[in-house]
Amino acid sequence: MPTEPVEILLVEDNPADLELTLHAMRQNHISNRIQVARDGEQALDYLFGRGAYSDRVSEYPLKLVLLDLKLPKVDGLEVLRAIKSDPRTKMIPVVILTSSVEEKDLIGSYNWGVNSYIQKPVDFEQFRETVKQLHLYWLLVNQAPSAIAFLAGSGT
Amino acid sequence: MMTAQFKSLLISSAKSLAQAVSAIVILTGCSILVGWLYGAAFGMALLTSSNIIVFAVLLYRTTLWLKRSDVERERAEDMRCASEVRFRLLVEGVEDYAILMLDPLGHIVSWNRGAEQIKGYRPDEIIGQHFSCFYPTEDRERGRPEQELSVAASKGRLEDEGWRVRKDGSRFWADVVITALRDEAGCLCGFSKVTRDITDRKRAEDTLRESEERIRSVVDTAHEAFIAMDSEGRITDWNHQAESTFGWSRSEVIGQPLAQTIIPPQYREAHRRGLEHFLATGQGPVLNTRIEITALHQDGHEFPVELTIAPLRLGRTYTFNSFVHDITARKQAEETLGRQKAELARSNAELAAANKELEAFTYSVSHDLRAPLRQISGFSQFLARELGPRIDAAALHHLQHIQKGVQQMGRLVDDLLNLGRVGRQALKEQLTDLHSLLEAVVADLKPEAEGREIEWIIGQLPSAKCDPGLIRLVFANLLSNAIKFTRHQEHAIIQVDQMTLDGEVVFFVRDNGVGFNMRYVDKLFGIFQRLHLQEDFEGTGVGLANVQRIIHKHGGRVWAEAEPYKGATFYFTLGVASQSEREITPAQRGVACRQNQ
Repeated sequence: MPTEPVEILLVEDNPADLELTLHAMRQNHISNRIQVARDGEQALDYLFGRGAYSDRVSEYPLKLVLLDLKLPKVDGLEVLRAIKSDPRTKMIPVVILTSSVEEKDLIGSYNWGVNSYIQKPVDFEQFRETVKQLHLYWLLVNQAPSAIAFLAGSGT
Repeated sequence: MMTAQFKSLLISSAKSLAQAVSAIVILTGCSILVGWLYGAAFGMALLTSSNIIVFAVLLYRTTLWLKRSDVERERAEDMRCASEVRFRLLVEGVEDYAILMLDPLGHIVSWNRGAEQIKGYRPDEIIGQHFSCFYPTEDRERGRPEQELSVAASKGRLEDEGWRVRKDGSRFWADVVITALRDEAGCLCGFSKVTRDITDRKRAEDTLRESEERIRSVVDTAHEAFIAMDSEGRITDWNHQAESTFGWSRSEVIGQPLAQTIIPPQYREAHRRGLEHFLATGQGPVLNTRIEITALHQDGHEFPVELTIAPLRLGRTYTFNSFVHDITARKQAEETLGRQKAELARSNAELAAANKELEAFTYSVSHDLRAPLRQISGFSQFLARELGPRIDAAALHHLQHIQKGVQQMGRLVDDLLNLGRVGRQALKEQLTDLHSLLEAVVADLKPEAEGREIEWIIGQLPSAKCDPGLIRLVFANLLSNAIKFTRHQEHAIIQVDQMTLDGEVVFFVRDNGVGFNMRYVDKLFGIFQRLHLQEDFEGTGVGLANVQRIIHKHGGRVWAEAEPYKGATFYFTLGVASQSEREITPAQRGVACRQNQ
C-alpha cells in the first residue's frame, strides 16, 4: 500500500509537549505526514535509514525537521550536526523548537547551520500561533529544491 | 734660662758641702797638732827622735792630703759646672715641653723656650708671676693651682690633664707634671713643672671616642641583633637587641663560644668547619650574603632568623660582624598567607563549582520549568474547549486563573533567567552614544505606550564607556516602569536626562505617576519585592533588582526618590572607571529637547 511520503520529522521526547504540538498542528490543519522520533538516536536512525528504519526508502526528501534540543541518548545539537555534515541530509531545513534560549545553545545551533531557532512560548495560544507560522513559512512560502535536484545535490 | 738666684743656690749648696768636708779635715789635723804641743809642754822628756820622725811624717802626710783634696774639690766643682751648663742648655733648648721652675709659693723662677712657644709669654714677661695665670678662670676661682701645688708638695709629684690658657687667651689641653724640689734638709725649695700641649692628641682621642660612641649607639639601638665573633669563634660584641632576641645578657656571653650559645646543636659542626675553612682559604659561601637559618634561644627553643655575616680583617686575625633578624613573625605570616591562599583557592574552586551548578540549574529552569507550564496552559485550554457550552461561569473563572498563573509563572521564569544571565555575563564595555541608545529604547517601547498621552522630555545624553546591551536593559526597565506607573495619568510626563552632582554625572528617569512611599524605598531594588498590588500594576519584582545588578556591575550607584501620587525619580551613575572616559561638552550639557509622543 503506497503511503504518502513523510514531509515533517518531529523530534520531541516529552509526551505532553508532543501531544500539544500535534494538537496545535491539527488545529492549524497541517495535513502533511509527520514522523515522530522520541529521542536523538531514533531521529538519526530514521534520517539515515538505520536500525528500525533500515528498510526505509527515501525517494522524497523531508521538507522540515522540528528538533528539540534536550533529548535522551543523543541530544539535539548532535542530531543537527549529523544532519548538516552529511551530504544526504544537509539540505533539509532544520528548525530548533525548544524551551531554551541559552546563548550557548543559540550559538551552537547556528554554528552547525540551523535554519531557524524558535523558543516555544509558555502560553499555548502563542505556541499554536507559532506552529502555524512555522508551517506556513517552511512548507508553503519557502522554496525548497526539487527532489531531483535534492538527490543530485546529495550526490546519490 | 736659669736665674742667678737659682744658680747660686745650687753652687752654694755644693760649696758648703766642700767647705764642710775641708773643715772636718782641718779640725782633725789641728787636734793632733794641739795634742802634740801639749805633750811637748808637759813632757819634753818624752820627746824622742822617733817621735819627731813620726810627727814629721804625719805633718807631711796631712799637708799632702789637704793639698790633694783641694785639687779634687776643684775638679769636682768644674765637672759639676759643666754638667750644670749642659743640663741648662738641654732644658732651655726643649721646644715641645714647657719646663719651668716655681718657687715654693708658685711664682715662676725659670722659663724655657718650649714654655715660651706653648704659652706665648717671653721670659721677662712671666718670670716672677704666679703660675695660676696659666689656668682658666673657673679653675683659678676654685683654687685649683694652689691645690695642685699642695698635692705635689705632699706627695712629691702630681700629674694632671686639663685646659690651660695661653697669653692670647686661647686654650690648649695640657698634660702637666709638677714635681716638688727639696733640699738636703728636706725643705721645700720650689717645684719643677713640665707641661705638654696635647690638644691635637686630645682632639683625635675625642673624635675617636665620639665615633666609637656613635657606632656603639647605632649598634645598641639597632632593631637587628648585632653579634661580633673573633677567629676563635668567641663572642666579642653583643648589642641590646641581641639580648632580647637570644635571651642572653651581654655580660653572660662576651668571651663565650658562639656555637655553644646561639647555634642549635645540629648546626655546630657545620659552623666549626665553615670557620676553619674560611680561616684556611679566605672563602666562605655564607659570608656577605643574606641567609635564613635556625637559631637557638637561651630558653632552648629554636627559631628562624635572617642574618648577614661580614668578615673584617684586623692585622693577622679576623672579626666577624653579624646582623641577625628574628623572622619568626614573618615566617608565621608567610605560613598564614600560604594557608589563606590555599583556602582561597579551595573556596574559589568551590565557588566555580557552585557557579557551574547554578548554570546547570538555570539551564534546566529555562528548559524544564517552561515545558510543564505550556502543558498546563495547553491542556486547560483543551479542557475549556471540550466542555464547550456546558462550561459554567465558575469553572471558566477557574480556568482563567490557571491561565493567568501560567502567564505570570512564565514571566517570572524569564525574568529570573535574565537576572541570572546578567550576573554571570562579563561586562563588554565600549564607548557608547547613550543618546542614540535611549532613542532606540523609547522607540521599542512605543507599543506599550500606545493610546496614551505621554510627554517625553529627553535631554542630550553624552557618550560613556559601558556595556551597551546591559545599559539598554536599564533604560528599558526604568522607562517601561515609568510608562506603567503613569497609566492612570491623563497627561503623563516622562523625563530622561543627566546632571552633575559633586562632580559626578548622574542619569535620571522621572515620571509623574503613582510614585511610592519612601518608607519602602529599601525594598525597591530587592528581588521579588513589589510595592504595588498585582491587579493594580502587574510585575514580577525582578526588573529593578536587575537594574541594580547591572549598575553595580559597572561600579555605579542607583537610588530613587518618590512621593505617593506625585511621581518617582530613579537616579544612577556609571562608576568612576567610566566617569573619566565620558565625553561631555558643556554645549551638550545645556541642550535639552522636548519630544512629544
